[in-house]
Amino acid sequence: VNSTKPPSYAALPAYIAEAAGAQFMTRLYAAAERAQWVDERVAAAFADGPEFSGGQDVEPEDI
Amino acid sequence: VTAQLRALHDARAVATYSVAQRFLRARAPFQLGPIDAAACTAFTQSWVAHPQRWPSWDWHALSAKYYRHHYARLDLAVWSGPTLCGLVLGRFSRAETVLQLNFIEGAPGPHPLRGDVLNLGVTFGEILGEAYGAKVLRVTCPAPHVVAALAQKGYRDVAPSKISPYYHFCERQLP
Repeated sequence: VNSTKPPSYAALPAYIAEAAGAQFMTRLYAAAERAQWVDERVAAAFADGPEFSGGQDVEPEDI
Repeated sequence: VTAQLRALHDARAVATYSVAQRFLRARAPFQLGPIDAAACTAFTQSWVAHPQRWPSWDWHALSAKYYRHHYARLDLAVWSGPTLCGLVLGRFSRAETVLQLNFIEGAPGPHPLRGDVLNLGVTFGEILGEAYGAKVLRVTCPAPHVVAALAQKGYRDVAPSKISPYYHFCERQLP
């Protein structure tokens, strides 16, 4: 439903891209590109139960 | 310095929401945004007293706590038009090597993105975590069907152990 047309940096307000930093924006687009294809089986598995997960505010441990 | 860090976080978050909503697919059009006053109002009006709501999480208190104490966080509100369909909260570890999703909840009752909220939340976490430079994404206290879905995405199921005795999580290395 949502467009998969490649976005351009110009689509974001300039001040946002500037504040976030070029390195961040590059990684962001690369990550979004990888995430655009969602496996149908994965989507079905996520939908096969109650729609919530978690419930404890656990402190993340560094690796 | 704290204000600058928050401003930078907000800019990064806005950039992430803008990018993610162009790429992710769902069964209905959606918009992504922060857990702001509009999301909290919709939560109070539509979710709190809903008879089909399972968790009793107070998203007002949770989001306020995360905003106050965790500038490196993931806070996501998933909308479809005027309908609040999902809320997600997570935070980064101290050295920002791990992004951990602690709360994901879809709207109670029928809504346009029924069945997509968990997938959207986790996928958005992968994008934000990678963009921030985190090495690992963790999803805490997952239900059995979430464990099965995450396993198909390559996540490792880590049961409570001597190393992490208090909680169960699934984790995956980020690129």
